[in-house]
Amino acid sequence: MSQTKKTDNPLSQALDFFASVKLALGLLIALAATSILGTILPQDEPLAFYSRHYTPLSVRLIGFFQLNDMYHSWWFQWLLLLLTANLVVCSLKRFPTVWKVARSAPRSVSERLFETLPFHRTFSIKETLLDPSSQAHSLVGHHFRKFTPIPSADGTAFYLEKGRFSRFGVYLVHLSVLIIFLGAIIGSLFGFKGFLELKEGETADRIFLKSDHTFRELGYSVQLERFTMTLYPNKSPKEYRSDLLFREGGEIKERAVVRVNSPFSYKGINFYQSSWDKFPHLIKLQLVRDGKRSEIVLKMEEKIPLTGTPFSLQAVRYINDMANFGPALGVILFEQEQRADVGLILVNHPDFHGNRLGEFQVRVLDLKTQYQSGFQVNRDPGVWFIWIGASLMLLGFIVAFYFSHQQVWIWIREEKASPDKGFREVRIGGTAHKNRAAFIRKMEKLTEKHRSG
Amino acid sequence: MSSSFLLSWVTFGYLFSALLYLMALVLKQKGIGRAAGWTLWAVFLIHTLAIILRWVESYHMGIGHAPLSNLYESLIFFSWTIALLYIWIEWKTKSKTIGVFVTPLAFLSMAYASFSPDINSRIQPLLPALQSNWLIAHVITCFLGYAAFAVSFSLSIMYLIKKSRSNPTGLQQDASFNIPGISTLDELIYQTVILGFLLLTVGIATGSIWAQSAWGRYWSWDPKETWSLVTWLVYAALLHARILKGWHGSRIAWFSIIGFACVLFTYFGVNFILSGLHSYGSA
Repeated sequence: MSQTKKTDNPLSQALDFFASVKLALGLLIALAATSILGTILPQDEPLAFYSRHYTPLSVRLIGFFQLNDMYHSWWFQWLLLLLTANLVVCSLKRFPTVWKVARSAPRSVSERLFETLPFHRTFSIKETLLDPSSQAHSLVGHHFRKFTPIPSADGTAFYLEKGRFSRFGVYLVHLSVLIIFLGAIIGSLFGFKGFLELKEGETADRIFLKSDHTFRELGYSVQLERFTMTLYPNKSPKEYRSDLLFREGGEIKERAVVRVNSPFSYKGINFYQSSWDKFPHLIKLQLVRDGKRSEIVLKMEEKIPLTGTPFSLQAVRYINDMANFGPALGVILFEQEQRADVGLILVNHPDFHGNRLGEFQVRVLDLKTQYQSGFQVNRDPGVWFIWIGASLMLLGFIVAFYFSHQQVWIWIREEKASPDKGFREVRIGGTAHKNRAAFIRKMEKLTEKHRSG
Repeated sequence: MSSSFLLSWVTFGYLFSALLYLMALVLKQKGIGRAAGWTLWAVFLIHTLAIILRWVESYHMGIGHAPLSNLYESLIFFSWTIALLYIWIEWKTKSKTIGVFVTPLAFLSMAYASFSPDINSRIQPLLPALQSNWLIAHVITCFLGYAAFAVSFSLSIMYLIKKSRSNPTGLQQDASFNIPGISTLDELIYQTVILGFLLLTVGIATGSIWAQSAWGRYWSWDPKETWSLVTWLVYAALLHARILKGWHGSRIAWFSIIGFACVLFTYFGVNFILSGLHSYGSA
C-alpha cells in the first residue's frame, strides 16, 4: 500500500529522489569528474587569454559554462547545492528510524529471536553456586557497559549492549559537511580577500580587493618599517620578514613582525607575507657620447632632460636578475619627446658593450635600492566553521567506522531435555550493526572457554 | 655511514624480500615465508634508521629539518609507510601471501627515488613556506593515507587474480599455507580504504590549516588540492556504494584501483603535468 502511495504523490517522489543513494553516488562522481576539468584548463584568466589558445567554439563553451572560473560557476554551485539537499533530505529521512531503533526497549527473549541473531550459541553449564546474574556477568559482562535484566516467563534473561552512539556517527559526518559549507558561505559573504604592497617607509590605510577591483578602508593605517630577507649559504631564501607599524588617528598602536607562515592579525584583519620586490629609488648614470661625459641623477619613472641636447631619459623598469647577469635597468631615450631608443643597462657590468642607448654609452655609477613587501590581507569569519566542521568530521568518521552498536542477549534456563538435573542451558546471541564478522569473532572468543568447560 | 648508503641497501632489501615472498608462495614453503618476514623486518628497521640519520645529517649541515620536504624524501617516506602498514597487516592476518603484492610497491617507491635522474636526493634547506610544524603533520598523515590506499590497491589486485577462474598463480585456498580467503580479502580492502580515507581527511585538514597560516586561504583550488579532493570524493563514493548499496568483491576492488590511480595522479601527475603550489620547491 505504501508503494502505491509513494508513486502517486509527486512530493514524496521528489523526496525519495533527493534521499536516494543513487543521487549521492552520482553527485560525488560528478563533482570528482568536473573538478578535474579545472585542473587541466587554466583558471582565472581573462577571456581574451582563451581566445588566443582555443577555437572559437571552445571559447563560447568556456564563456557559457564559466569554465575560466569553474569552481565558482553557476553549474558547479548547483552541484554543491544538490549535494547539500541530498545530504539534508537523506539524513532527515533516515534519522527518525535510527532514533527509534536506538531508543527502543530491548526485544524480549524467545527461540525466534536467537535464530535471527547473526551470532548465537547454546550450551549447558553445570549448575554452580553462582546466581544467573553473576553467571551472565562472568560470560561477557565486563565487555558491555550496559547490563539490564529483562523479564522472561521462563528462566532468567539479560540484555547487554554498547556503542549505541555509533549509530549516529554518519549523521555527525553529514552535519560536518554542512558546517564546512556554511563556513565557506560565511567567508564569501562577510569576509574579504585583498592585497597590499608597501615600499619601505610607506604607509597605507586601504587595501586592494581583487575580486571587485575596488579599495577597502582598513580603519587604521599600516606602515612598512623594514623588509628583510635572509638567505641560506646556497643563496636560497631562508626568511622573509616585514616589520609593520599600526597607527590609529596618528597614534602608534602596535608593532608587529610578519613572516611567511606567521601572519599577524590586527582588529580582525590578517596580514600574510606574500611577495617582495626590490627597485631603485636613486639612480646615478654616466653618459658618454662622442667622448663627452655627463652625469645625471634620476628616480624611477622620472623623465630627466640631458642639458644641452634634445634628449631626455626615463628609467621605467628594474629587473633583479637579468639572465644571471645581475640587476638591469630598463631605460627609454627620448629625442624631442619622441621615443628614440629603449634598452636594458646591466648594473654590475659597466663596460658591457650592449649598455647603449642611441649614440650614448651608459654606465650605472650608483643605484640605491629599496624593498617593497606584498601582503595578502583578509578577513574570514567563516574559518572557525571550517575547523569545527573538520574536527566533527573526523570524530564522526571514528565513531562511524570504528565503533558499532553491539547488542547481546543471554537466556539462562534449567536444562529440560537432559535427564540429569543440575545443568543449566545457556543461550547467548548477539548482533552488531557494523563489522559483524569482527563482532562474531570476538563473541566466539569470549564464550569459548565457558562452552568447553 | 651515511643515510644515502643505507637507503641504497634498503632499496635492494625490499626487492629481496618481495622475491622471497613470491618464492614462498610459488613453492608453498613456510620457511621461505618466515625468511621473507624477517628480511622485511630487518629492511624496515634499517629504513627507519636511515630516515633518522638523514634527519641528523641535516642538523649537521646547519639546516636541520624533518626529512619530509621534497619529492625524494617523500618517496622514501612513502615506501616506509607502505612497509609499516604491511607489517601490521601481516601481524594481524598471519598471512605471508599479501606480501607478494605489497612489498613490490615499497621497492618501486624506493627505486624511483634512487634511480630517477629528475629527482634530487641532496638535503636542501627549507624554503620559508615549508617552515611550519603543520608540514610534518600534513605529510605524515597524507602519506600514511596514501600507503593505506596502496595496500588496498595491492589487495584489490590480489582479489581479482584470485577471483579469476583459471587460477595459475597458486593463490587457491591451501590450509597448510595461510592464504586469505576471498571474503577476508574483501574485508581487508574495505578496512584499508577506511583507514586511508580517515588519514586523507586529516591530511587535507592539516594542509588547509597550513595554507591558512601561510597564505591566508584554507582552500584555493590549486591542482594538488583539487586532486586530493577528487581522490577523497572517489573513495567517499566507494564507501557509500559499499555501505548503502551493498557493493562487494570485484566491484569494490575495481573501485579501489580507480581510487589508487587518483592517488598516484595527485602524487605524481600534478607535479609533472600540472603546476601549482606543490611543485616541490620551485615556488
